[in-house]
Amino acid sequence: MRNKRQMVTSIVVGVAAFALPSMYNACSQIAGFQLGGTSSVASSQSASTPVVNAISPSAKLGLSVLNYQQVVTSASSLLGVPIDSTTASIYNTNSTLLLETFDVGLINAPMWITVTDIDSQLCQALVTKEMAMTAVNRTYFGSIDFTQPIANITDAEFLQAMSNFAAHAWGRALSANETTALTTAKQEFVSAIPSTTTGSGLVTQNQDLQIFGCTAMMASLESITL
Amino acid sequence: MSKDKQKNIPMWAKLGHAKPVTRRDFLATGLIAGSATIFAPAWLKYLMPDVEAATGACAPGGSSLIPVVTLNLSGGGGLQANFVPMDKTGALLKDYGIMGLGSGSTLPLTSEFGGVQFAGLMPDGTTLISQFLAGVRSKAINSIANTAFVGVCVQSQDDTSSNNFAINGLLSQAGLNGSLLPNLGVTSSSINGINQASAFLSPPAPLVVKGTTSFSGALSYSKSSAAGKVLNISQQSSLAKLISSLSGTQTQTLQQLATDQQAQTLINCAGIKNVSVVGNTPLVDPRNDTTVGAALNTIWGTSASTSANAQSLIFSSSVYNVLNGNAGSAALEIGGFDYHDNTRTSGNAADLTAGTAVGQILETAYAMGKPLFLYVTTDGSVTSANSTSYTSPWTSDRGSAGMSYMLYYDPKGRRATTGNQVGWYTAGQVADTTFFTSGSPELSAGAVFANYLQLNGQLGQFSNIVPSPFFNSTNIPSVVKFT
Repeated sequence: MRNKRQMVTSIVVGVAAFALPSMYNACSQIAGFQLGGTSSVASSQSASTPVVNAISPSAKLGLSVLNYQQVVTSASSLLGVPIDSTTASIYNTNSTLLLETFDVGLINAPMWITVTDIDSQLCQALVTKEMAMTAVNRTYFGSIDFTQPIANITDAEFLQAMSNFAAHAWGRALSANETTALTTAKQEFVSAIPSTTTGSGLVTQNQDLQIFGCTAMMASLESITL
Repeated sequence: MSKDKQKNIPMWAKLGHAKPVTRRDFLATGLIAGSATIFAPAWLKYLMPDVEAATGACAPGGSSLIPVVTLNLSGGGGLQANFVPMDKTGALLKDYGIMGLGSGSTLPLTSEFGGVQFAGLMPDGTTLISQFLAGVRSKAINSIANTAFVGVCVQSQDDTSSNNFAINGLLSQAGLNGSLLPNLGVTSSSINGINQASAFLSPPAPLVVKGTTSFSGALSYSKSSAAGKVLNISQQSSLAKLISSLSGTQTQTLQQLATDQQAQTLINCAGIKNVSVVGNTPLVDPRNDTTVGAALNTIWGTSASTSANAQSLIFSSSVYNVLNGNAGSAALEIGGFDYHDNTRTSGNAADLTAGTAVGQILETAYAMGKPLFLYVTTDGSVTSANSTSYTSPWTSDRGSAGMSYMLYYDPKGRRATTGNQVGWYTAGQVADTTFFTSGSPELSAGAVFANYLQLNGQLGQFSNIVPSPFFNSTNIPSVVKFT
């Protein structure tokens, strides 16, 4: 039980924890902005003291972020899947897009894309892992029959799996808007399957849909925010 | 232990903790706080700053403002010994003895950029004292005639990244944003992408360019990831839309925003914008540009076989993406300018490198037929042993003799200036801090930004963008040199 609780708390830290509060304790380092006040080098040099810039109110964002080593570590723990070589490779290849500090100001769209890449990789591993388990023993995909073609996966079954992510990652049920968004996205996903896809290919699409949903849930704002 | 190895040690290890995994672990290591306060609107703009100013949903990015490149010479180069600063009356100083230029009465001068004075020729008649200018001339063969130059006299701290020279935040606030990419930088240790602190405003996070793969990674899901591998293009777009949709509604859940709709628009656009170019490979590698690729290869000495992380290719790609509007501004950096090693050799070599890079940047603008504002910064300066010789070796730091440069290339012709110097130097061979911007890198950066706005015909926006009581309608004209 304790492990499960730990899992729940760690999931909050989450796969792509962009945004966390910045009220660090005494053991932390703060990566703040350098905004605001105008410094006078002439005066500071004579005193041989470093220029200290005032932090403007707008700079005091109540957020901070995990760096990506922490993100990957916690995500792996959260989903219960190891960091494989491909994930490590994506991490290393895109390391310059990723956070090295805890400065929320370092968030940008390319970073989000890379987080999604990493999440998708971990979600793929999760699907593979849970496919090998009986439905009743699965944490997330108990409602999904992975042997079925995607057309046989009902909205309710898909939403049940997504609800499990919501419960673990967000600590709540899906909202009406989220349910609608997920249902719509599932329809779009199915519509985008090439008409030439048949047989086992449609079973694979079922698995891919679960990767798709897992990734979206884990890369969404609430999963990366405390 | 090397510096690099030290850098790779995770924070939790530096702090003496075990590797954190759970939230509790992170709390214990101090890497997150114990309570949360969410200010989503404050940071949403960082996700897609250009959308913030756009009207309508997900309006395309890009800007009509003049592209900007900042070149930072890290370590405190002797810019004041290349461009020759004058006194308050515009005359040569009597003595440049500790500025590495000897006596004002015997200092050879050479003119460039339409009458701007640089340290001139050695007695051999061929070697320039200003190796910076030598570098510029070696590369800016076609562009130099259309380039205007202004030196900015300013004292700054030596050997530090805390001088507030960087204008990236001001540029973003003015609306200089890329159509596909954030601002570009070369180091992740600073929000500005270079080792300079922000003047007045902090910019959106840069894309740190460590090689051409940085561009491709910023524009699409990795082909190695499950998202890039098992999902087709339409499904990838659906994924991005779903993440955006979920996040948009969650923004409202997380807090009651006065601007819910704006926040949702921002986050939606942030999510789908870059992914929307998947499968529609944009030109981010200049070598693939059939129009100017060959010319840029010649300018930068690059080729198809150039290593993806070669500085020449990083610089070339960054300047290229700024000039074609993919990115807002680029911040580049060259190290090795803390060169006071009791010789002139190291300094000359570094100055030549800097000038060469400046020449390459200007010539790239020429090749692409685009205007370019180039801002050259450094941290502090150097001093020579007091001498009447203009070859006196560099012996120490001396930030009181600091300087930055503004250059503007205009394909239509060299922009006229009302002067080539902001502020002036004193007989004591320091930037005179009685001039209001010369004692503060931040105010000098404000002066640079005022010139940029002037070039864009938007000087009237200055007071709306720069949050400083030190600038007013009376003194702003004294720092604006471009007409």
